[in-house]
Amino acid sequence: MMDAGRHPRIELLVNSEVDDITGFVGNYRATVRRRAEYVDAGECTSCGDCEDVCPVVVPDEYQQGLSSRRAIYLPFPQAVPSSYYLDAENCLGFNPIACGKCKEVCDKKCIDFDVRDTILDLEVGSVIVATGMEPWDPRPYDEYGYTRFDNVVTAMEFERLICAGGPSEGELVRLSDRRVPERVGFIQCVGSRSPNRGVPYCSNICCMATIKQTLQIAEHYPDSQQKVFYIDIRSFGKGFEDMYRRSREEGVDYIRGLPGSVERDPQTGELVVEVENTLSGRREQHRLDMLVLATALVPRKFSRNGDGKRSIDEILSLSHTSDGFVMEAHPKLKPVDAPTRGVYFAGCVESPKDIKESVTQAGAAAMRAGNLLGAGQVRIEAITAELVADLCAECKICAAVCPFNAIVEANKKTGLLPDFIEAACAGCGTCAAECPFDAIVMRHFEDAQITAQIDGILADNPMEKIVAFACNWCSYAGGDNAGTSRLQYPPAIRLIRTMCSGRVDQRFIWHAFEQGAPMVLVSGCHFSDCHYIDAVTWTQRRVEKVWTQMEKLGIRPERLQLEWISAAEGQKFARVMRELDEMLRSVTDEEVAETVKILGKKKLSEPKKVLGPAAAVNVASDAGATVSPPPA
Amino acid sequence: MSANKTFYCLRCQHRFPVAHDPKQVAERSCPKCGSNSVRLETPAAVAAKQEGD
Ligand SMILES: [Zn+2]
Repeated sequence: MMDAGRHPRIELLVNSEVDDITGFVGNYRATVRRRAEYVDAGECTSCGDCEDVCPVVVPDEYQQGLSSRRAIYLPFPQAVPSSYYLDAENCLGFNPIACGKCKEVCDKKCIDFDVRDTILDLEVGSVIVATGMEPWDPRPYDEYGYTRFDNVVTAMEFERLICAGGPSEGELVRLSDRRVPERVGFIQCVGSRSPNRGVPYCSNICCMATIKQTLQIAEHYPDSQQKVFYIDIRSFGKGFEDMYRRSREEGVDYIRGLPGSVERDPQTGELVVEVENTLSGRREQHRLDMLVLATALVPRKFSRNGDGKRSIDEILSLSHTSDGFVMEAHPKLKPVDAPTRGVYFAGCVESPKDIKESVTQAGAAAMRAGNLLGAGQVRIEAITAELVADLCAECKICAAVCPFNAIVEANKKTGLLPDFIEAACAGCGTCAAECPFDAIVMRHFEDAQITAQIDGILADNPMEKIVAFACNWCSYAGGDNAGTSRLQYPPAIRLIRTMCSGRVDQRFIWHAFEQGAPMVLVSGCHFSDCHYIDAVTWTQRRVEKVWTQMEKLGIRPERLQLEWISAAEGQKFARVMRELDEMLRSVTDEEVAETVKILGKKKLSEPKKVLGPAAAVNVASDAGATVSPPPA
Repeated sequence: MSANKTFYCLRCQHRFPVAHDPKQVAERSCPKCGSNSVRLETPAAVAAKQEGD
């Protein structure tokens, strides 16, 4: 951090937040609010005179509330910049009569109560999001007596207690009487791997953090007794198993089983832990002086502030996996890239990870950003959207549905057509599918190419075929997975690959039915896996519209099926195909003939015609009912 | 605002209640068969199904 602070080409904007980011890869514009800093960091020598006279005492967040600080303070010993910080919320200098004691004693005159927030407008080529995570809060469930007993602490609190710079200066004391605990217990997976009470995933670092802590205690207090209650120990990294072995050799007792109850003996003050040892099959009772909870790590809660500010997730339209952490562009091939080009991730914002992994990822993100900036130009995706100006009715739907904000909406007043920023387009095809006028060509996945595939599938024996649209990243890969896993599924299914299910235009579905398809399947990624942020939500909306229309026309909606299948769900892919094959048998020749007849009159597979400005206005207002406004 | 609405499954015809917010597009699946082909039951859908029976 110190190196970063001193680097001539790195400008640290501490105490700042991002209000907005607009633009696209290589050409982002960030609006940053730099909070008022009442202490001039350049002048402050960290003498501490101000802190000595400050009359305000509040809990110290860095020390997990285990000690207190003043309203003017050094946030933590290695803070960069190494200057005092004035906490305006608690300072009496603003309340409304200034106490001003700190200002009076400051020799360097570096405290000023009148400074205000400043807004910085920055041009940046790429953005790295490294906003971290936070520990799971054990209070709502009172996990293992955390809210009832002083001597039950979280792993984070334990870290402060054992740290030389901590509130007890490295002396491990229990909070009830400040005596050194002789018997310390650790409970693993508190909140982790617990879908009903906490989070379903493993928090990755807790096993090794606990092992490290047992070694610290063993080193400082050789006579202590330590017990670790666990489900299983995950020591998978380089040197980790060795550390685990050392911990056992130090006499730490590893007990497989999570405690059923923790109570306090009113006579002795000891914590009484009841646990079923799943290795011995016996119920055991352990008496301890201190209990440490290895709590889960969870995504940071970003919520809109009262003043309507958006979180960085909202500003950058970041999508999330089902665990709530941000989703990378590809879990194996692009693990530090966001789906939006030029945006990268580092650290626990992407998933819980240890220091080594965080440093590796941060290095990778910096390199990715550096490569991008160093090249000075980007190679545009081959699969991008292109406007056919003559067909555009300026209805603005394309701009509203684009997950990447890659389309600048049309402006009727100025007569400007929508502007497609090719560098920002990721090629999902949602705009092309939603355009009622077919005014957008999706390169390599053009309408004519897709309808030709439908025609090819249905040219022979259409009654034995199911036309299935599958997205490249998930459903199609799910089919691959089924194949490589040698799972059997019926041959009736015929896949048409699109990059995203968002590309599946309702006209493709109508075209398939017009051509005598007994059944159609639209399949894509689960919402949390969508590689195009929220394009998949437009797929669902569209299919729902087609179901409604089918019903109105007297066509059974069951003949159009929708399914979300991930790349790992080969089993699901095969099962769905078997189920659809079963349903295919219920569709009769007469039913299909009737459908072809109905649709022959309706011409639903044809685009709307642009009749001139008046027609365009009508369509825009008609479309407004189904399209939500673009993100601010 | 989300209110309880009845959805039905276009695979197994199972009907089930879902807290539904028309402004939110959420991934849904049938609690009986797991299919994602689930649809909000509208009066028209009920009438169409009765006609079919
Ligand atoms: Zn079902």
